[in-house]
Amino acid sequence: VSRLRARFARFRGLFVARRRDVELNEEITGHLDLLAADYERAGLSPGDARAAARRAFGGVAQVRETYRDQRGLPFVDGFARDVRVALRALRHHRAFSTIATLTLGLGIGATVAMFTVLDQVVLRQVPYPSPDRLVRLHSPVPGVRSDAVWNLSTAQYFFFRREAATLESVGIYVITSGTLGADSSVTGSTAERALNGLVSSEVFGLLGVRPVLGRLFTEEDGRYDQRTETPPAVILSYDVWQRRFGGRSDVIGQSLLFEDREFPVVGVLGSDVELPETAFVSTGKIGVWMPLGLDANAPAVNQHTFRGIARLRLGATVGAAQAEVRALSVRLPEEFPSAYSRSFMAGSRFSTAVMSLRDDLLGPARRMIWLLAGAIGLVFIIASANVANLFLARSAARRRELTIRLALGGTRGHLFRHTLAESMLLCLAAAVIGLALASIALQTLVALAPITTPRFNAVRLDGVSVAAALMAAIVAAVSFAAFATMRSETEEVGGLRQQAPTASRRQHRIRNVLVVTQVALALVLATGAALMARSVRHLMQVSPGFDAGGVVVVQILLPRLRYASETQVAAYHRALAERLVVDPRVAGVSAASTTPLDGADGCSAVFVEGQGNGPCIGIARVGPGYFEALRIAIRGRAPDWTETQGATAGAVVSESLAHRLWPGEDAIGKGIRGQGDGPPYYRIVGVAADVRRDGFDRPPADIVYFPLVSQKGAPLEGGAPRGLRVVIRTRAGDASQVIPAARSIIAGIDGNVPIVSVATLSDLVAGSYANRSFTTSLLTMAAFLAMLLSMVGLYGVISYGVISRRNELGLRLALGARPCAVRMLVIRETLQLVAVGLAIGLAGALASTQLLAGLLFGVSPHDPATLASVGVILFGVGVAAGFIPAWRASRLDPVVALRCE
Amino acid sequence: MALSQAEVPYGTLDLMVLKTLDQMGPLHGYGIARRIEQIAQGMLALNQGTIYPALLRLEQRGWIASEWGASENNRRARFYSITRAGRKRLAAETEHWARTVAMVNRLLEHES
Repeated sequence: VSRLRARFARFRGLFVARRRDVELNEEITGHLDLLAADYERAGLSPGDARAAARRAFGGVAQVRETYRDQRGLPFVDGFARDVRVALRALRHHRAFSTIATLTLGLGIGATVAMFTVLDQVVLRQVPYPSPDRLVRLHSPVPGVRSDAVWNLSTAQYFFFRREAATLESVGIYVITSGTLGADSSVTGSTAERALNGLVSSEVFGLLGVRPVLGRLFTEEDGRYDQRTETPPAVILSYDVWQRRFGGRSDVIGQSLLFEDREFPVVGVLGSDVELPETAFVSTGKIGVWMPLGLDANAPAVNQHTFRGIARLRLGATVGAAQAEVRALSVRLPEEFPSAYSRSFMAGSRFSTAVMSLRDDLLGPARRMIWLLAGAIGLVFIIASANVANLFLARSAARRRELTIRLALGGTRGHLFRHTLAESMLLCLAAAVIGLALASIALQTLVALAPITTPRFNAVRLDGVSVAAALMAAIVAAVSFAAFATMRSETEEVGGLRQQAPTASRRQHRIRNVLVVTQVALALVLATGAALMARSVRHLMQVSPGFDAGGVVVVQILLPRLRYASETQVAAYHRALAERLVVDPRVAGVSAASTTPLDGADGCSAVFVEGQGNGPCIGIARVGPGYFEALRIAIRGRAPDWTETQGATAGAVVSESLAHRLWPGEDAIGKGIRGQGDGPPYYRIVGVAADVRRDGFDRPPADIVYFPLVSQKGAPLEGGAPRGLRVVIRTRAGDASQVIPAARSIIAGIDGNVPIVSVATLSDLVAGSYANRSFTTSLLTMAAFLAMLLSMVGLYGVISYGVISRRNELGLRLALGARPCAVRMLVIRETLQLVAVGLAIGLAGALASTQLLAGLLFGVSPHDPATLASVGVILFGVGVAAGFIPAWRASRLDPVVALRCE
Repeated sequence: MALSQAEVPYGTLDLMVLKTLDQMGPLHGYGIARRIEQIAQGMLALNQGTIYPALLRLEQRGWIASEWGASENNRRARFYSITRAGRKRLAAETEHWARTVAMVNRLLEHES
């Protein structure tokens, strides 16, 4: 304890130094006076007495010095002095300080920006109580498609809730949307689309939600039949409560108009309550909450529409839960034979997986961000290598000074402290610059990132970022100081004899190693960037099967009550099409339940005439004019309005599906239907070109195009498609110019139909590879920075080599060497370094481009052409970096060079 | 004179200062130095100034405390006094010193 106390006293001593100095002086004077008085009493003259007192006391200056050392922490005291000296030195060597600070600041800025993203997007947990125990349950079906993952069915929910011992609580929910009706009693109230969170009774408990007013849902609230009844209660989001009810506290018991029906309000939630999906991705907020209709006794259906969420029992691991749930899944056919047949289980290779909720929500963004963070980390290393090189060069230039200091009794600790003061000042300045750059970089990053990237909209510089910047600066400062001082060990003795300040052999080797590392890392980054760029180019060249240019897609939502029948839906759609097509800018209009790249990639069971239970196939409900509007090539013909409204339209299948179902035969005229086998079948009237519905990097999807209105006796799943995507093909110019007209026409036909989203199809296409283009542009920036920094590093090392060999080169020139021979000498040296760097980098690239495997498209991670071209480019960069020093070497004036000696 | 006077053995100045303060009560630096010299009866070459860093060290450790008061000639002077922790330390140090001396003595006797 006393030691700690002494530390503290010493620490405090740093700050009260002046006062203690004065006090000590007073003490010493008093002491001397008393001593002298004693001597006088013993008979000495006043002068002699004073002199004797001084003798007895000892050296006053020494006492002061020891006292001062004892008072503060000498290391810190000394460090403060070093800092002052260092400041002077840095001001003196302005070029060195500026270049070093800027280079490192750039490195720190990029790193901190990327680290902030990593920290706040990937590493930070979800905003719910004990988030590490929250898990996602879902069902991979590799038999359907290798990466297909389905949500949960109610059967799974009931089963896991009952059986899974590792899960404390299991809940399911689904997000739908509907229309908050215009309230006739409130003027200016308009219909709006609102997201509806349909939740099982456990979900609020799982997420730790408490109501602001009223109550949450009970299990009782969920005991209604989904198909025939409406939910018995609604809980309002804070926002809807404020806007629609003015935040009145008597809202409980009133009713809310939603989808043209009234629901009794039982509760209000706080403003920050969101489901994981709406909290993570900036696509909208939940407006109303309703209980999910769940009847444990209803017949189980194989319908995987619900998001599964669960909380692990205390002490249970994700692995244990995964093992248990997977084992339970195998028992599904015994428990629910009607829904989960053994042939289905085998065919789809159905199972249930458990994973951390956060990782599931992040999806592919998680890998993308780790990858980019890695790339930026490499840039930081390259930048640091440059600064380390500068420090080495500087310490070489100061070698004599340092040697003298050592010879005069300075310890290695002193030297280190002195260098550390310099590097610390530089690095802290770099950290400040870095933080400023990082805040700009973050804004750019957030603006460039695909809008579907989870959590990106909330990323900000925070305390953790600042701490990271300081940490990076301190680590860099210490390593620079260590680098710069470690070498002087070997040649203390010889140092003073040497005349010109030159680098030691060892130091030269370190610098070479640094440069080789830089070149190698730059090659790795450039290869990654080049591979990504080629992938994106390949993606853009893919023929999607439709023409996205000039197409606007408007997503609308027809309220359930007003548009209950399919004929009503069709009538609405026809009216809309007829009004839109009058606009001279519009070339064609249609609508469909789903359009390419809208994210719907599900499939449903289809029954084929004569073949029975068919495979799981994607279904689209399309109106007349759909294929023309999207310019999807079609063989045969597409149904027209009379057929559609007469319910005799027939169906269209995609080309590959036609081959798959009827190999070697013509599909036209064959029969197919959606729900339940048996006649009547839809007759196939046309075969459409394959469309890359799920993204350009995915194989074309097998699709059956059914009409908007189903045939008599052959109902289609979901009844009339109420969520419609209106497809507008424009004639020329900017497609988005037609959007205002479309909006007013939609509002004119029925004010109760909300517009959910509007986008040009080209934007949707760009969005489908936004992750890749984002990764590509960042990797490319990183690679350019890396190349630039390595070039500077190489230039620095070679120029330094030329300067330190000035005598030798001058001698050669004086003895008649031709300038071009000297030039070659220097360039050869450069190329040696570059070649070694490229060789190492090649190995690194081959090993690390595997990380890109899932992101690459149409190019192998080891594509020789890419590797070769990147290698050639870097080689060229190396030659360019070496050329100026080489040229300078050949222009040396032998007389000047030799005189320098 | 040089022959008969010993340097202050390393580490014993603290012990001497603590003992002095324990016996004499509060003293200023000069008083402490005089007292140690008196007891040593000329056998010790003490640079009186060296007790100031020692006093600071002891105070930092919390073994002595100081306050300003008036000296014999009515000048302001800092008076040092031993603390409870200091007494404990003194006891421990004394025992340690005695053990060391006994051990060295045994060693020397054995040698001869």
